Amino acid sequence: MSDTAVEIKNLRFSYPSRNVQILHGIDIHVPRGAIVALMGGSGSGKTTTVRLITGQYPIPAGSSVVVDGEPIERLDLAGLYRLRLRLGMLFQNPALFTDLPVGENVAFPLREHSQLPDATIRDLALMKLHAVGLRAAAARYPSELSGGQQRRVALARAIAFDPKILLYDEPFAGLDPVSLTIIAKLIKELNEHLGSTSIIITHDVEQTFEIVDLVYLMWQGKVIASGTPAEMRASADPIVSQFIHGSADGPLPFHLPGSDYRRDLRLADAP
Amino acid sequence: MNEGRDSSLGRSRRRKGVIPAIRRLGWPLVEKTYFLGTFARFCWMIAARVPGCLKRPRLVWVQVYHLGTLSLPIIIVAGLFIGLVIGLQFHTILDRYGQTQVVGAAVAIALFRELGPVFAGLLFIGCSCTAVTASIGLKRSSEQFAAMEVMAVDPLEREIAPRFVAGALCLPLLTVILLAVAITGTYAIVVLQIGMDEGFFWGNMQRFTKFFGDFTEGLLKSVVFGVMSSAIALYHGYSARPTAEGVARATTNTVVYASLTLLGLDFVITSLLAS
Repeated sequence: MSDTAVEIKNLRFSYPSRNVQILHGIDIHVPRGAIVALMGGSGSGKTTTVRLITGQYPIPAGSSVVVDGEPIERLDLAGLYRLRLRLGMLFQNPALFTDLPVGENVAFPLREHSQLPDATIRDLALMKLHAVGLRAAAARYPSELSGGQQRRVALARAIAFDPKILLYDEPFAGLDPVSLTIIAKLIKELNEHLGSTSIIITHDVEQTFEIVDLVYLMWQGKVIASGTPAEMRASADPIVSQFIHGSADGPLPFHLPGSDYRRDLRLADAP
Repeated sequence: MNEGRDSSLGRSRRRKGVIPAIRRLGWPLVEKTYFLGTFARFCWMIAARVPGCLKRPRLVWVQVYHLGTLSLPIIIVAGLFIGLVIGLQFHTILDRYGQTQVVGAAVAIALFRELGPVFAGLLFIGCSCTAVTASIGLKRSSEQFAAMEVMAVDPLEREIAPRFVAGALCLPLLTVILLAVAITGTYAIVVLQIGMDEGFFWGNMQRFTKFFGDFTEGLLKSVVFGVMSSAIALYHGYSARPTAEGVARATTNTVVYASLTLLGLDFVITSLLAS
Protein backbone atom coordinates (compact mmCIF):
# COMPACT_ATOMS: atom_id res chain seq x y z
CA MET A 1 0.00 0.00 0.00
CA SER A 2 1.31 3.43 -0.99
CA ASP A 3 2.14 6.00 1.69
CA THR A 4 0.10 8.56 -0.20
CA ALA A 5 -3.68 8.81 0.24
CA VAL A 6 -4.28 11.66 -2.22
CA GLU A 7 -1.90 13.10 -4.80
CA ILE A 8 -2.98 16.10 -6.86
CA LYS A 9 -0.73 17.33 -9.65
CA ASN A 10 -1.15 20.42 -11.80
CA LEU A 11 -4.90 20.58 -11.18
CA ARG A 12 -6.57 23.20 -13.34
CA PHE A 13 -10.32 23.60 -13.44
CA SER A 14 -13.08 25.87 -14.67
CA TYR A 15 -16.81 25.23 -14.51
CA PRO A 16 -18.31 24.61 -17.97
CA SER A 17 -21.14 27.09 -17.29
CA ARG A 18 -18.78 29.84 -16.11
CA ASN A 19 -15.92 31.18 -18.13
CA VAL A 20 -13.69 31.65 -15.07
CA GLN A 21 -10.63 29.60 -14.15
CA ILE A 22 -11.20 28.32 -10.58
CA LEU A 23 -7.99 26.34 -10.04
CA HIS A 24 -4.65 27.32 -11.57
CA GLY A 25 -2.49 24.22 -11.49
CA ILE A 26 -2.41 23.23 -7.83
CA ASP A 27 -0.27 20.44 -6.34
CA ILE A 28 -1.31 18.78 -3.08
CA HIS A 29 0.17 15.73 -1.36
CA VAL A 30 -1.81 14.05 1.41
CA PRO A 31 0.17 11.36 3.28
CA ARG A 32 -1.76 8.29 4.43
CA GLY A 33 -3.02 8.58 7.99
CA ALA A 34 -2.53 12.34 8.14
CA ILE A 35 -5.02 15.09 8.86
CA VAL A 36 -4.56 17.81 6.26
CA ALA A 37 -6.27 21.20 6.30
CA LEU A 38 -7.15 23.16 3.18
CA MET A 39 -7.46 26.75 4.27
CA GLY A 40 -7.97 30.01 2.46
CA GLY A 41 -10.41 32.80 1.83
CA SER A 42 -13.91 32.32 0.43
CA GLY A 43 -13.86 31.53 -3.28
CA SER A 44 -10.26 30.31 -3.29
CA GLY A 45 -11.23 26.90 -4.76
CA LYS A 46 -11.10 24.66 -1.65
CA THR A 47 -14.55 23.08 -2.09
CA THR A 48 -13.94 22.61 -5.82
CA THR A 49 -10.69 20.78 -5.01
CA VAL A 50 -12.48 18.41 -2.62
CA ARG A 51 -15.24 17.81 -5.15
CA LEU A 52 -12.63 16.93 -7.75
CA ILE A 53 -11.07 14.46 -5.29
CA THR A 54 -14.45 12.68 -5.05
CA GLY A 55 -14.88 12.73 -8.83
CA GLN A 56 -17.95 14.97 -8.83
CA TYR A 57 -16.51 16.90 -11.78
CA PRO A 58 -14.42 15.51 -14.64
CA ILE A 59 -10.67 16.02 -14.27
CA PRO A 60 -9.34 18.23 -17.11
CA ALA A 61 -6.65 16.93 -19.47
CA GLY A 62 -3.13 17.55 -18.18
CA SER A 63 -4.24 17.37 -14.54
CA SER A 64 -3.95 14.35 -12.29
CA VAL A 65 -5.83 13.35 -9.12
CA VAL A 66 -4.83 10.02 -7.58
CA VAL A 67 -6.99 8.87 -4.65
CA ASP A 68 -6.06 5.75 -2.69
CA GLY A 69 -3.85 4.66 -5.58
CA GLU A 70 -6.49 5.16 -8.28
CA PRO A 71 -6.24 7.93 -10.87
CA ILE A 72 -9.74 9.51 -10.91
CA GLU A 73 -9.42 10.69 -14.52
CA ARG A 74 -9.07 7.10 -15.77
CA LEU A 75 -11.98 5.60 -13.81
CA ASP A 76 -15.32 4.76 -15.41
CA LEU A 77 -18.55 5.26 -13.41
CA ALA A 78 -18.44 1.76 -11.89
CA GLY A 79 -14.79 2.26 -10.88
CA LEU A 80 -15.59 5.66 -9.42
CA TYR A 81 -18.43 4.18 -7.34
CA ARG A 82 -16.09 1.42 -6.07
CA LEU A 83 -13.58 4.08 -5.02
CA ARG A 84 -16.29 6.18 -3.34
CA LEU A 85 -17.09 3.25 -1.05
CA ARG A 86 -13.72 4.03 0.56
CA LEU A 87 -14.49 7.75 0.88
CA GLY A 88 -16.69 9.70 3.26
CA MET A 89 -17.63 13.31 2.75
CA LEU A 90 -19.24 15.96 4.91
CA PHE A 91 -20.80 18.58 2.65
CA GLN A 92 -20.75 22.33 3.30
CA ASN A 93 -24.54 22.15 3.13
CA PRO A 94 -25.44 19.13 5.35
CA ALA A 95 -27.31 17.52 2.39
CA LEU A 96 -29.33 15.28 4.71
CA PHE A 97 -32.19 13.32 3.16
CA THR A 98 -35.19 15.37 4.21
CA ASP A 99 -37.68 12.52 3.75
CA LEU A 100 -35.82 10.19 6.13
CA PRO A 101 -35.47 10.43 9.92
CA VAL A 102 -32.03 11.20 11.34
CA GLY A 103 -31.34 7.54 12.23
CA GLU A 104 -32.21 6.39 8.72
CA ASN A 105 -30.00 9.11 7.25
CA VAL A 106 -27.03 7.67 9.13
CA ALA A 107 -28.05 4.10 8.28
CA PHE A 108 -28.46 4.97 4.58
CA PRO A 109 -24.95 4.00 3.34
CA LEU A 110 -25.05 0.82 5.44
CA ARG A 111 -28.43 -0.19 4.02
CA GLU A 112 -27.28 0.52 0.48
CA HIS A 113 -23.93 -1.21 0.56
CA SER A 114 -24.00 -3.90 3.23
CA GLN A 115 -25.93 -7.10 3.78
CA LEU A 116 -25.99 -6.58 7.54
CA PRO A 117 -29.14 -7.50 9.47
CA ASP A 118 -31.54 -4.67 10.34
CA ALA A 119 -30.74 -4.87 14.06
CA THR A 120 -26.98 -4.48 13.41
CA ILE A 121 -27.53 -1.51 11.09
CA ARG A 122 -29.73 0.09 13.74
CA ASP A 123 -27.07 -0.40 16.43
CA LEU A 124 -24.30 0.95 14.19
CA ALA A 125 -26.36 4.03 13.29
CA LEU A 126 -27.07 4.68 16.98
CA MET A 127 -23.37 4.32 17.81
CA LYS A 128 -22.41 6.85 15.13
CA LEU A 129 -25.10 9.23 16.36
CA HIS A 130 -23.87 8.75 19.92
CA ALA A 131 -20.38 9.74 18.79
CA VAL A 132 -21.72 13.12 17.62
CA GLY A 133 -23.97 13.47 20.66
CA LEU A 134 -27.29 13.08 18.86
CA ARG A 135 -28.44 9.55 19.68
CA ALA A 136 -31.57 11.03 21.26
CA ALA A 137 -32.49 12.66 17.93
CA ALA A 138 -32.50 9.39 15.94
CA ALA A 139 -36.27 9.42 15.39
CA ARG A 140 -36.51 13.10 14.48
CA TYR A 141 -36.48 14.50 10.97
CA PRO A 142 -33.62 16.77 9.84
CA SER A 143 -35.98 19.76 9.66
CA GLU A 144 -36.54 19.47 13.42
CA LEU A 145 -32.83 20.03 14.16
CA SER A 146 -30.77 23.21 14.24
CA GLY A 147 -28.16 23.91 11.55
CA GLY A 148 -25.29 22.85 13.83
CA GLN A 149 -27.08 19.62 14.81
CA GLN A 150 -27.74 18.83 11.14
CA ARG A 151 -24.01 19.16 10.45
CA ARG A 152 -23.29 16.71 13.26
CA VAL A 153 -25.77 14.22 11.79
CA ALA A 154 -24.12 14.66 8.40
CA LEU A 155 -20.79 13.94 10.08
CA ALA A 156 -22.22 10.74 11.63
CA ARG A 157 -23.44 9.71 8.16
CA ALA A 158 -20.04 10.46 6.59
CA ILE A 159 -18.31 8.13 9.05
CA ALA A 160 -21.05 5.46 9.00
CA PHE A 161 -19.14 3.18 6.63
CA ASP A 162 -15.75 3.69 8.39
CA PRO A 163 -14.16 5.15 5.25
CA LYS A 164 -10.42 5.15 4.55
CA ILE A 165 -10.42 8.78 3.44
CA LEU A 166 -12.64 11.41 5.02
CA LEU A 167 -13.30 14.80 3.46
CA TYR A 168 -14.83 17.47 5.66
CA ASP A 169 -16.10 20.67 4.08
CA GLU A 170 -16.25 23.16 6.95
CA PRO A 171 -17.02 20.70 9.79
CA PHE A 172 -16.84 23.43 12.43
CA ALA A 173 -19.26 25.89 10.80
CA GLY A 174 -22.30 26.69 12.94
CA LEU A 175 -21.10 24.71 15.97
CA ASP A 176 -21.14 26.06 19.51
CA PRO A 177 -17.74 26.05 21.34
CA VAL A 178 -18.45 22.79 23.21
CA SER A 179 -19.60 20.92 20.08
CA LEU A 180 -16.65 22.37 18.16
CA THR A 181 -14.10 20.97 20.63
CA ILE A 182 -15.85 17.57 20.71
CA ILE A 183 -16.08 17.32 16.92
CA ALA A 184 -12.43 18.33 16.50
CA LYS A 185 -11.48 15.62 19.02
CA LEU A 186 -13.73 13.13 17.21
CA ILE A 187 -12.01 13.84 13.87
CA LYS A 188 -8.63 13.27 15.51
CA GLU A 189 -9.78 10.04 17.19
CA LEU A 190 -11.35 8.70 14.00
CA ASN A 191 -8.08 9.17 12.20
CA GLU A 192 -6.21 7.32 14.90
CA HIS A 193 -8.68 4.48 15.52
CA LEU A 194 -9.82 3.82 11.96
CA GLY A 195 -6.40 4.50 10.46
CA SER A 196 -8.08 6.83 8.00
CA THR A 197 -6.86 9.99 6.31
CA SER A 198 -8.71 13.29 6.66
CA ILE A 199 -8.85 16.40 4.54
CA ILE A 200 -10.53 19.33 6.27
CA ILE A 201 -11.68 22.57 4.70
CA THR A 202 -11.98 25.14 7.43
CA HIS A 203 -11.51 28.76 8.41
CA ASP A 204 -11.08 28.02 12.11
CA VAL A 205 -7.32 28.48 12.49
CA GLU A 206 -6.91 27.80 16.22
CA GLN A 207 -9.01 24.62 16.43
CA THR A 208 -7.62 23.27 13.17
CA PHE A 209 -3.97 23.85 14.02
CA GLU A 210 -4.44 21.73 17.16
CA ILE A 211 -5.44 18.60 15.26
CA VAL A 212 -3.89 18.75 11.76
CA ASP A 213 -0.51 17.49 10.59
CA LEU A 214 -0.27 19.59 7.46
CA VAL A 215 -1.83 22.81 6.17
CA TYR A 216 -2.27 24.01 2.58
CA LEU A 217 -3.18 27.66 2.24
CA MET A 218 -5.05 28.51 -0.97
CA TRP A 219 -5.72 31.85 -2.52
CA GLN A 220 -7.53 32.58 -5.79
CA GLY A 221 -7.14 29.05 -7.12
CA LYS A 222 -3.48 28.58 -6.15
CA VAL A 223 -1.68 26.98 -3.24
CA ILE A 224 0.32 29.88 -1.84
CA ALA A 225 1.83 28.16 1.20
CA SER A 226 2.01 24.77 2.86
CA GLY A 227 3.62 23.22 5.92
CA THR A 228 2.99 22.00 9.43
CA PRO A 229 0.98 24.25 11.78
CA ALA A 230 4.23 25.26 13.50
CA GLU A 231 5.84 26.18 10.16
CA MET A 232 2.77 28.17 9.16
CA ARG A 233 2.78 30.04 12.47
CA ALA A 234 6.48 30.84 12.04
CA SER A 235 6.10 31.90 8.42
CA ALA A 236 7.34 35.36 7.54
CA ASP A 237 5.20 35.42 4.40
CA PRO A 238 2.86 38.43 4.83
CA ILE A 239 -0.08 36.58 3.22
CA VAL A 240 0.27 33.56 5.54
CA SER A 241 0.75 35.81 8.55
CA GLN A 242 -2.29 37.95 7.71
CA PHE A 243 -4.52 34.90 7.19
CA ILE A 244 -3.45 33.14 10.38
CA HIS A 245 -3.83 36.24 12.53
CA GLY A 246 -6.96 37.43 10.75
CA SER A 247 -5.57 40.95 10.29
CA ALA A 248 -7.64 43.45 8.35
CA ASP A 249 -4.52 45.08 6.91
CA GLY A 250 -2.25 43.19 4.55
CA PRO A 251 -1.85 41.90 1.02
CA LEU A 252 -5.03 39.78 1.09
CA PRO A 253 -7.82 41.91 -0.39
CA PHE A 254 -11.25 41.96 1.27
CA HIS A 255 -13.04 43.28 -1.83
CA LEU A 256 -13.70 41.18 -4.92
CA PRO A 257 -11.72 42.74 -7.79
CA GLY A 258 -14.02 44.98 -9.86
CA SER A 259 -14.51 48.37 -11.44
CA ASP A 260 -13.54 51.63 -9.74
CA TYR A 261 -15.70 52.44 -6.68
CA ARG A 262 -15.83 56.20 -7.34
CA ARG A 263 -16.78 55.58 -10.95
CA ASP A 264 -19.58 53.20 -9.88
CA LEU A 265 -20.94 55.94 -7.62
CA ARG A 266 -20.71 58.41 -10.57
CA LEU A 267 -18.74 60.94 -8.64
CA ALA A 268 -18.00 63.99 -10.76
CA ASP A 269 -14.21 63.88 -10.50
CA ALA A 270 -13.91 60.13 -11.13
CA PRO A 271 -11.43 59.28 -13.92
CA MET B 1 -37.44 56.64 -13.92
CA ASN B 2 -34.18 54.82 -13.19
CA GLU B 3 -34.50 52.58 -16.27
CA GLY B 4 -31.09 51.80 -17.75
CA ARG B 5 -29.09 53.68 -15.11
CA ASP B 6 -28.12 50.87 -12.78
CA SER B 7 -26.42 48.22 -14.90
CA SER B 8 -23.75 47.98 -12.15
CA LEU B 9 -26.43 46.44 -9.88
CA GLY B 10 -26.95 43.61 -12.34
CA ARG B 11 -30.00 44.80 -14.27
CA SER B 12 -29.56 43.92 -17.92
CA ARG B 13 -30.49 46.34 -20.66
CA ARG B 14 -32.12 45.19 -23.87
CA ARG B 15 -29.62 45.52 -26.70
CA LYS B 16 -30.73 47.18 -29.89
CA GLY B 17 -29.71 46.27 -33.45
CA VAL B 18 -30.30 43.64 -36.13
CA ILE B 19 -27.99 40.90 -34.78
CA PRO B 20 -29.46 40.95 -31.22
CA ALA B 21 -32.96 40.91 -32.76
CA ILE B 22 -32.09 37.81 -34.84
CA ARG B 23 -30.60 36.23 -31.72
CA ARG B 24 -33.79 36.89 -29.78
CA LEU B 25 -35.79 35.23 -32.56
CA GLY B 26 -33.50 32.21 -32.84
CA TRP B 27 -32.94 31.63 -29.14
CA PRO B 28 -36.35 30.02 -28.41
CA LEU B 29 -35.72 27.54 -31.25
CA VAL B 30 -32.30 26.66 -29.84
CA GLU B 31 -33.81 26.35 -26.37
CA LYS B 32 -36.61 24.02 -27.51
CA THR B 33 -34.19 21.83 -29.51
CA TYR B 34 -31.92 21.63 -26.46
CA PHE B 35 -34.93 20.72 -24.30
CA LEU B 36 -35.98 17.91 -26.66
CA GLY B 37 -32.43 16.54 -26.82
CA THR B 38 -31.84 16.57 -23.09
CA PHE B 39 -35.34 15.22 -22.39
CA ALA B 40 -34.76 12.27 -24.78
CA ARG B 41 -31.40 11.58 -23.12
CA PHE B 42 -32.98 11.78 -19.66
CA CYS B 43 -35.74 9.31 -20.68
CA TRP B 44 -33.08 6.92 -21.99
CA MET B 45 -31.15 7.19 -18.71
CA ILE B 46 -34.30 6.38 -16.70
CA ALA B 47 -35.25 3.48 -18.99
CA ALA B 48 -31.77 2.00 -18.55
CA ARG B 49 -32.20 2.09 -14.76
CA VAL B 50 -35.74 0.67 -14.56
CA PRO B 51 -34.57 -3.00 -14.46
CA GLY B 52 -32.21 -2.14 -11.58
CA CYS B 53 -34.90 -0.41 -9.56
CA LEU B 54 -37.37 -3.27 -10.14
CA LYS B 55 -34.98 -5.51 -8.21
CA ARG B 56 -35.92 -3.41 -5.17
CA PRO B 57 -39.74 -3.37 -5.43
CA ARG B 58 -40.08 -1.73 -1.99
CA LEU B 59 -38.72 1.53 -3.41
CA VAL B 60 -41.44 1.45 -6.09
CA TRP B 61 -44.25 0.55 -3.67
CA VAL B 62 -43.31 3.41 -1.36
CA GLN B 63 -43.64 5.82 -4.29
CA VAL B 64 -46.89 4.21 -5.48
CA TYR B 65 -48.26 4.79 -1.98
CA HIS B 66 -47.09 8.43 -1.92
CA LEU B 67 -48.23 9.34 -5.43
CA GLY B 68 -51.46 7.36 -5.21
CA THR B 69 -52.61 8.69 -1.85
CA LEU B 70 -51.73 12.22 -2.93
CA SER B 71 -54.17 12.09 -5.85
CA LEU B 72 -56.79 9.67 -4.47
CA PRO B 73 -59.04 12.12 -2.58
CA ILE B 74 -59.26 14.55 -5.48
CA ILE B 75 -59.79 11.69 -7.96
CA ILE B 76 -62.73 10.38 -5.90
CA VAL B 77 -64.35 13.81 -5.42
CA ALA B 78 -63.79 14.85 -9.04
CA GLY B 79 -65.02 11.45 -10.30
CA LEU B 80 -68.24 11.83 -8.35
CA PHE B 81 -68.97 15.30 -9.75
CA ILE B 82 -67.99 14.27 -13.29
CA GLY B 83 -70.40 11.34 -13.07
CA LEU B 84 -73.20 13.52 -11.69
CA VAL B 85 -72.80 16.23 -14.35
CA ILE B 86 -72.31 13.89 -17.31
CA GLY B 87 -75.27 11.76 -16.22
CA LEU B 88 -77.49 14.83 -15.92
CA GLN B 89 -76.37 16.28 -19.28
CA PHE B 90 -76.75 13.01 -21.17
CA HIS B 91 -80.16 12.43 -19.65
CA THR B 92 -81.31 15.93 -20.65
CA ILE B 93 -80.03 15.56 -24.22
CA LEU B 94 -81.24 12.00 -24.78
CA ASP B 95 -84.63 12.92 -23.32
CA ARG B 96 -85.17 15.17 -26.38
CA TYR B 97 -84.98 12.09 -28.59
CA GLY B 98 -86.78 9.74 -26.20
CA GLN B 99 -83.62 7.63 -25.73
CA THR B 100 -83.02 8.01 -22.00
CA GLN B 101 -82.80 4.22 -21.59
CA VAL B 102 -79.27 4.27 -23.12
CA VAL B 103 -77.96 7.01 -20.83
CA GLY B 104 -75.91 4.51 -18.78
CA ALA B 105 -74.25 3.10 -21.89
CA ALA B 106 -73.57 6.54 -23.36
CA VAL B 107 -72.00 7.81 -20.15
CA ALA B 108 -69.90 4.66 -19.75
CA ILE B 109 -68.56 4.85 -23.32
CA ALA B 110 -67.74 8.56 -22.98
CA LEU B 111 -66.01 7.97 -19.66
CA PHE B 112 -64.11 4.84 -20.61
CA ARG B 113 -62.79 6.07 -23.95
CA GLU B 114 -62.14 9.75 -23.27
CA LEU B 115 -63.18 11.56 -20.14
CA GLY B 116 -61.87 9.09 -17.55
CA PRO B 117 -58.24 8.87 -18.68
CA VAL B 118 -58.04 12.59 -19.60
CA PHE B 119 -59.55 13.88 -16.34
CA ALA B 120 -57.55 11.42 -14.22
CA GLY B 121 -54.40 12.39 -16.13
CA LEU B 122 -54.92 16.13 -15.65
CA LEU B 123 -55.70 15.70 -11.96
CA PHE B 124 -52.68 13.42 -11.53
CA ILE B 125 -50.47 16.06 -13.16
CA GLY B 126 -51.87 18.79 -10.92
CA CYS B 127 -51.53 16.80 -7.70
CA SER B 128 -48.78 14.20 -7.93
CA CYS B 129 -46.54 15.35 -10.79
CA THR B 130 -46.11 18.84 -9.36
CA ALA B 131 -45.18 17.29 -5.99
CA VAL B 132 -42.65 15.04 -7.73
CA THR B 133 -41.07 18.00 -9.58
CA ALA B 134 -40.86 20.10 -6.42
CA SER B 135 -39.40 17.29 -4.28
CA ILE B 136 -36.81 16.28 -6.89
CA GLY B 137 -35.92 19.93 -7.52
CA LEU B 138 -35.44 20.56 -3.80
CA LYS B 139 -33.43 17.38 -3.30
CA ARG B 140 -31.14 18.44 -6.12
CA SER B 141 -30.82 22.04 -4.96
CA SER B 142 -29.96 20.91 -1.40
CA GLU B 143 -27.26 18.58 -2.76
CA GLN B 144 -29.02 15.42 -1.58
CA PHE B 145 -28.30 13.78 -4.94
CA ALA B 146 -24.66 14.88 -4.80
CA ALA B 147 -24.42 13.31 -1.32
CA MET B 148 -25.88 10.07 -2.70
CA GLU B 149 -23.39 10.02 -5.55
CA VAL B 150 -20.49 10.49 -3.12
CA MET B 151 -21.90 7.54 -1.14
CA ALA B 152 -21.67 5.49 -4.36
CA VAL B 153 -25.46 5.41 -4.77
CA ASP B 154 -26.89 6.27 -8.17
CA PRO B 155 -29.70 8.82 -7.55
CA LEU B 156 -31.26 8.02 -10.92
CA GLU B 157 -31.71 4.39 -9.90
CA ARG B 158 -32.52 5.06 -6.21
CA GLU B 159 -34.82 8.08 -6.52
CA ILE B 160 -35.82 8.81 -10.12
CA ALA B 161 -36.55 5.40 -11.66
CA PRO B 162 -38.85 4.24 -8.77
CA ARG B 163 -40.91 7.43 -9.11
CA PHE B 164 -41.14 6.90 -12.86
CA VAL B 165 -42.37 3.29 -12.52
CA ALA B 166 -44.74 4.33 -9.72
CA GLY B 167 -46.23 7.12 -11.88
CA ALA B 168 -46.75 4.70 -14.77
CA LEU B 169 -48.51 2.25 -12.41
CA CYS B 170 -50.52 4.80 -10.44
CA LEU B 171 -52.35 6.60 -13.21
CA PRO B 172 -54.11 3.48 -14.66
CA LEU B 173 -55.15 2.52 -11.11
CA LEU B 174 -56.44 6.03 -10.40
CA THR B 175 -58.25 6.06 -13.75
CA VAL B 176 -60.10 2.84 -12.87
CA ILE B 177 -61.09 4.33 -9.50
CA LEU B 178 -62.27 7.55 -11.17
CA LEU B 179 -64.36 5.52 -13.66
CA ALA B 180 -65.98 3.48 -10.90
CA VAL B 181 -66.84 6.57 -8.84
CA ALA B 182 -68.11 8.48 -11.90
CA ILE B 183 -70.41 5.61 -12.92
CA THR B 184 -71.68 5.54 -9.34
CA GLY B 185 -72.34 9.30 -9.57
CA THR B 186 -74.30 8.85 -12.80
CA TYR B 187 -76.27 6.01 -11.20
CA ALA B 188 -77.08 8.25 -8.24
CA ILE B 189 -78.39 11.13 -10.35
CA VAL B 190 -80.13 9.18 -13.13
CA VAL B 191 -81.57 6.22 -11.20
CA LEU B 192 -81.88 7.38 -7.61
CA GLN B 193 -82.72 11.05 -8.25
CA ILE B 194 -84.49 11.19 -11.63
CA GLY B 195 -86.02 7.72 -11.30
CA MET B 196 -84.81 5.91 -14.42
CA ASP B 197 -85.29 2.16 -14.40
CA GLU B 198 -82.27 0.44 -12.85
CA GLY B 199 -82.51 -2.56 -15.19
CA PHE B 200 -82.31 -0.37 -18.30
CA PHE B 201 -79.37 1.57 -16.80
CA TRP B 202 -77.15 -1.44 -16.07
CA GLY B 203 -78.52 -3.68 -18.87
CA ASN B 204 -77.86 -1.23 -21.69
CA MET B 205 -74.49 -0.33 -20.23
CA GLN B 206 -73.49 -4.01 -20.36
CA ARG B 207 -75.01 -4.45 -23.81
CA PHE B 208 -73.44 -1.47 -25.59
CA THR B 209 -70.11 -1.10 -23.77
CA LYS B 210 -67.20 -3.28 -24.93
CA PHE B 211 -64.45 -4.32 -22.58
CA PHE B 212 -61.96 -4.82 -25.46
CA GLY B 213 -62.35 -1.56 -27.28
CA ASP B 214 -63.94 0.96 -24.96
CA PHE B 215 -62.38 0.05 -21.62
CA THR B 216 -58.99 -1.11 -22.94
CA GLU B 217 -58.64 2.02 -25.10
CA GLY B 218 -59.03 4.17 -22.00
CA LEU B 219 -56.64 1.99 -20.05
CA LEU B 220 -54.04 2.17 -22.82
CA LYS B 221 -54.35 5.96 -22.81
CA SER B 222 -53.90 6.13 -19.05
CA VAL B 223 -50.73 4.00 -19.22
CA VAL B 224 -49.28 6.29 -21.93
CA PHE B 225 -50.32 9.41 -19.99
CA GLY B 226 -48.78 8.00 -16.79
CA VAL B 227 -45.44 7.27 -18.46
CA MET B 228 -45.37 10.64 -20.22
CA SER B 229 -46.44 12.83 -17.30
CA SER B 230 -44.05 11.11 -14.88
CA ALA B 231 -41.11 11.51 -17.27
CA ILE B 232 -41.90 15.21 -17.80
CA ALA B 233 -42.30 15.85 -14.04
CA LEU B 234 -39.04 14.08 -13.21
CA TYR B 235 -37.14 15.82 -16.00
CA HIS B 236 -38.25 19.28 -14.89
CA GLY B 237 -37.41 18.51 -11.26
CA TYR B 238 -34.01 17.06 -12.11
CA SER B 239 -33.05 19.92 -14.42
CA ALA B 240 -34.46 22.72 -12.22
CA ARG B 241 -32.12 25.57 -11.33
CA PRO B 242 -31.02 25.13 -7.69
CA THR B 243 -32.97 28.17 -6.45
CA ALA B 244 -36.48 28.80 -5.11
CA GLU B 245 -37.40 30.50 -8.39
CA GLY B 246 -35.93 27.60 -10.37
CA VAL B 247 -38.02 25.00 -8.52
CA ALA B 248 -41.17 27.16 -8.81
CA ARG B 249 -40.60 27.56 -12.55
CA ALA B 250 -39.96 23.84 -12.97
CA THR B 251 -43.26 23.03 -11.21
CA THR B 252 -45.16 25.42 -13.50
CA ASN B 253 -43.43 23.93 -16.55
CA THR B 254 -44.47 20.45 -15.46
CA VAL B 255 -48.14 21.43 -15.42
CA VAL B 256 -47.96 23.28 -18.74
CA TYR B 257 -45.87 20.75 -20.70
CA ALA B 258 -47.48 17.62 -19.25
CA SER B 259 -51.07 18.88 -19.70
CA LEU B 260 -50.54 20.00 -23.29
CA THR B 261 -48.65 16.81 -24.16
CA LEU B 262 -51.45 14.74 -22.60
CA LEU B 263 -54.11 16.46 -24.72
CA GLY B 264 -51.98 16.13 -27.85
CA LEU B 265 -51.27 12.46 -27.18
CA ASP B 266 -54.98 11.86 -26.53
CA PHE B 267 -55.75 13.05 -30.03
CA VAL B 268 -52.90 10.99 -31.55
CA ILE B 269 -53.95 7.76 -29.78
CA THR B 270 -57.64 8.29 -30.63
CA SER B 271 -56.75 8.89 -34.28
CA LEU B 272 -54.52 5.83 -34.46
CA LEU B 273 -57.10 3.56 -32.85
CA ALA B 274 -59.93 4.96 -34.96
CA SER B 275 -58.02 4.34 -38.16
